[in-house]
Amino acid sequence: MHGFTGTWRLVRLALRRDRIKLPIIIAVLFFVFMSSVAQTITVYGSSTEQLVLYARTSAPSVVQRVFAGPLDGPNIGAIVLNETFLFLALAIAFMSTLTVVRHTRQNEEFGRSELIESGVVSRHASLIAALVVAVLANLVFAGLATLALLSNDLPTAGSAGTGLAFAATGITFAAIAAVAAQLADSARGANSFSAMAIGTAFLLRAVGDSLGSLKDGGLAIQSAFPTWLSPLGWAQLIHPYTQANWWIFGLFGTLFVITVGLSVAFMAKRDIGLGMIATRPGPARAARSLLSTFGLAIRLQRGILRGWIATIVVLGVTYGLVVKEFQDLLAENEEFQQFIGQLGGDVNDAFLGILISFMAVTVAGYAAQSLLRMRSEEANGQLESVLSGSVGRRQWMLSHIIYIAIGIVTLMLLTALSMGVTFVLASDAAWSKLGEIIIASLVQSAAIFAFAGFAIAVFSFLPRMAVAVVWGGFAACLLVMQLGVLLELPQWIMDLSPFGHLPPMPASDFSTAPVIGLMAAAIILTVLGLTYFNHRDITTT
Amino acid sequence: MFETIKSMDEQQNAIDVKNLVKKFGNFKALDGLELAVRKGEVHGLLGPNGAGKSTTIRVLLGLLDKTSGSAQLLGGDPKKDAVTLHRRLAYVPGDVNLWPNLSGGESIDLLGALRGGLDKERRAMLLDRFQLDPRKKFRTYSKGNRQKVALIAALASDVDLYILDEPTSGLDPLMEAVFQECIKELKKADKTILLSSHILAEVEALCDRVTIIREGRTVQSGTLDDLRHLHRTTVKAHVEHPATKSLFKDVHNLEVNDKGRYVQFEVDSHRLDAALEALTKLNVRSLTSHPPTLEELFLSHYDNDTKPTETE
Repeated sequence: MHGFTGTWRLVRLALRRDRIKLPIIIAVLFFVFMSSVAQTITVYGSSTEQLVLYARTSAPSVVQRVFAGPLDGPNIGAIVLNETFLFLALAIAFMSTLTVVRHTRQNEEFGRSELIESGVVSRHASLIAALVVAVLANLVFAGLATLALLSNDLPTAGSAGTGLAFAATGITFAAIAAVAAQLADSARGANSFSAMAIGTAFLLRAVGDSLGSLKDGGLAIQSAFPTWLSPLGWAQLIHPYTQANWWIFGLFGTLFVITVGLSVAFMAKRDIGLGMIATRPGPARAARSLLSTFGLAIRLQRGILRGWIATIVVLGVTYGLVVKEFQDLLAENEEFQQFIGQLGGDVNDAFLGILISFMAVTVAGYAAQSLLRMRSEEANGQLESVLSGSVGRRQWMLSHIIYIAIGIVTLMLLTALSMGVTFVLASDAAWSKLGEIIIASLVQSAAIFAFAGFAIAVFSFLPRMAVAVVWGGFAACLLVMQLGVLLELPQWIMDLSPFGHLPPMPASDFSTAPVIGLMAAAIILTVLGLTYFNHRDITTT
Repeated sequence: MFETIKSMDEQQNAIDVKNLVKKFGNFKALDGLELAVRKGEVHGLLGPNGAGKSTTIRVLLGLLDKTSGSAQLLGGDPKKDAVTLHRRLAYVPGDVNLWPNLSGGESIDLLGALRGGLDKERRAMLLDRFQLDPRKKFRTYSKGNRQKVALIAALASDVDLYILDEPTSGLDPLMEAVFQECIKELKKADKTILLSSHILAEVEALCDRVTIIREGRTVQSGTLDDLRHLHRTTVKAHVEHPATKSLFKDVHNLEVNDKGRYVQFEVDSHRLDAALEALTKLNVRSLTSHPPTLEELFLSHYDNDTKPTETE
């Protein structure tokens, strides 16, 4: 057919380009899904009483409704989905939108598509090819997810339905990304439009589910209407193990046809390289505040920090509520009280300490992302232009480092404020608790600084591998924190992570030695990095 | 420190590179490169892709460390004195990659400020001459317009040395002409310019001297006249008496056509006289001769068979 000339070739090209990226993403998501399914069944699936207990505590919880979805009764399948589905679906949605944008708008932005379009390919071939690749990736994941559920002895129809629900979500957002790629004139713009669409879908169903009413004796949730406005909501409302609302796949199909039609129509209308929405012009002259290495660092870094501030505040408020709900749970359950009582100390404080140190590892993700911005400046050639000016290398590097150091402290302070204020208001605790939380959070900054020092040294000594090594280090810290004890890792390996060394305040007392040690490590690594960077070659590859 | 550098370079070349070697692992990107750029001249740096032009420039800018040899820039050390030296030079990279979300105007001001400031009037004049809209975001510019951003930022700075790495590869002929005018003006103002280029017409129009490099080595350096002198002149003539090939000795690519009435050959400069003598005996009706074009110079150095002067 004329309209599809060259599509298959472009599909093969896209698959070839993604031959490592997509399989790794799918494999990681599969293992995460597989292990969380197994874990959920082990923890909650041993008896009917436990299923009922889970449903009774989970269904009324606002935190659960927002971050898990509309639980549908004390059914093991429903509980597994409640624990695992939403975040996997989000990951699949992002995988799909990034894939589509990578093979459409990004090609146009980098000028690759001009070369492609000059060959014997139809105008829509690249768009269709990108969608085909996204659909294939989603179907592969759907198959694997179904297998994971079946291997845990869950019913066949529900398991297949769950796999298809994942695929439907991913494919729908792939089609939305195809529209976004027509609207924006840059890959970055298209990705942020897609992310906004996913975020809106998440929020709509979060509102719908948290406003929902309890049914079936308080063990299930009837979502309110906003959930029905969100593809993520639809996917959960299928309830494959309980209600089997297969007709909802029709909604997905309709939306898919509409969005793909829209993207094809937009593509026919616009010129190659341009977007339906024109980029707004910028200022003809630079503001005085931009005209220095620090001004430039602020301009390049502020977007990253803003994104993290939003994330951290949402997480902080949520954790504040989680601690409050934990308190309520404790009040209801005598057995649990006795168990915790044996551990000694204030349970709330211990729980707060764990959450604060988890937030610290999360903020280390900010440190990694923002410090690696230095490497992308180097690799993409902007650094070369900066250093051809009268700019010292250390001056350039310190501009970024100082901004990021302020960013880290800001994020930890906001962690403490959002979490502490929410907790104090929700549980009527004394305001002095807020002070304790603030101090505990700021103390945790020392570990983040040590991690940042590591990232700075890696950027300086191993520029070509910096992205992999820094994110690898971040993943290792997360892993050690979550699973270190479980995996029985040797202590010296666990000690390599900076996050295990600080006392979990506010439950424990402050101790000076680890803070000084971590700050010393941070400073030494930073100085080493700055010194070596002054000597090494600037490498763009 | 600044003062000593200044007084030193009064007697020296703007750029002095001797026996420069740069290795990346086992790969020798520069292998004994020589480059001397006199003050106040426009110096062309010629070479095919991968010859080492950009590597040389990056060493001169202190972005790369040399492996061995010496490199001097405005009388200072390119690496150690980078911050002070860069106040006195402006650079346009071969691939202009600036910040996608900054406007062209912002980028020009920023690059100028990092160098120590730029001339506002010159900036406005250059924007006008190059017809660049400074309000567009950098990522929306075409390749040519990206180059204009970097060119305007460089040319609007009042510095001693301009290092331009293939600055016009994306410009259309009209803008190329504007570029050439700008360079001629800088030359009048006694500025030094190092221009790496592929566009031979541009080099012929602008450069006082050229250095041709290949595989990290300097093949030849001098004025265009000097280089031409070392090469063959092309002679084409219509003659009255039929010519035969045996009449012409020590010439190259000899062609005799039109029943001996048309003769064409290339001849080394020291044999030119003998060849013309042979020709005049045939009663020349018309004669054209031209010195080697830069293309011919350029090509002869990249053709492996015709570089007997090069030794390992």
